[in-house]
Amino acid sequence: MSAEPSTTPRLSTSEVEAIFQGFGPADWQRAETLASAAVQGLVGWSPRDLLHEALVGLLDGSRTCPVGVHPMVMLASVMRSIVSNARQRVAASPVDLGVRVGHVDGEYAEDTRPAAHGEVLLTPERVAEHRELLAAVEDLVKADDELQLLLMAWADGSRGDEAMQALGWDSKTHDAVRKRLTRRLAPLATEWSLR
Amino acid sequence: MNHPTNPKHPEEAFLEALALELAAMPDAEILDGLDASQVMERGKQALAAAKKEAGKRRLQRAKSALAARGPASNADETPVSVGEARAFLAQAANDPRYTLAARKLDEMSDEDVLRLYRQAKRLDVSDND
Repeated sequence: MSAEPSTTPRLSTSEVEAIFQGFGPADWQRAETLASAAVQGLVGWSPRDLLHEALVGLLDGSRTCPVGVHPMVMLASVMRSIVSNARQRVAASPVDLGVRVGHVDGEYAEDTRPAAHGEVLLTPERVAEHRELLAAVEDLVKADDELQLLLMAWADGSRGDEAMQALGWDSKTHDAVRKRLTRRLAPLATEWSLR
Repeated sequence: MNHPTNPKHPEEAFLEALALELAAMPDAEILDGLDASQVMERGKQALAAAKKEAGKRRLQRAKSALAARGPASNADETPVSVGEARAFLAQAANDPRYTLAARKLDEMSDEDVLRLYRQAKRLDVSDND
């Protein structure tokens, strides 16, 4: 997202902060679902880590967003960039203590992650666990044909009415499958901070 | 939405579609079966933690930028006598870069002279950057 041409007007950090300050519970659930989806297959990152890094990047100005982009698309784009960089680091060096980021100084009562970053040594075995995002998500939905179809449509750039028509579904079926897919991608309480 | 003239990477397309579909779903559907107050509390905590970290990182970047300018840029650390400061400022009064009336120097306290000297040196440094 920060690679946009410099002539495109960007949101200021205070404008970005105002957007997040205006989030209601449903918006935060959407953000958590995006984070959970984006870290699929990436060992060493929890959805909370990713959401934290995305918010920090947008609030400290190191990641910017063009004016007019939907906040969820803004978050999705930043998250994808972060995990893409993380995957490249893993590919370059299996033993990379820098992969573990986002430690929030124990502000969350449920944060039971070990304090020493060395705990997250990426052994060759753990590296092998890394999956590409779509492969990991496909694995998550492999038992459900409809979820797989919708996932493929989204990965192909089709959504909404376009996806409905391509899949031959009525809106009731589409909405039900969409809800199942987003629920499948949302983090479980046990997954939110531990991975 | 996503057309062959500028095809997106499938992962990018997937995440963007997910973002837009989540945005299109009603709030009630998003929160169905969930405790909205718990979700909101997690969100508030996430934002507060991120703001704190963002502040630290901005400060660190500012410190790094200052350190990169080098010790010569910090006029506050260079010891100077009041006499030297007055002499410098008297000369500066004739320098078109500064707006300073030399006659006022005699009326200024030593503390004010030293403060003005440091301000002038900082301007001098930033002019030379």
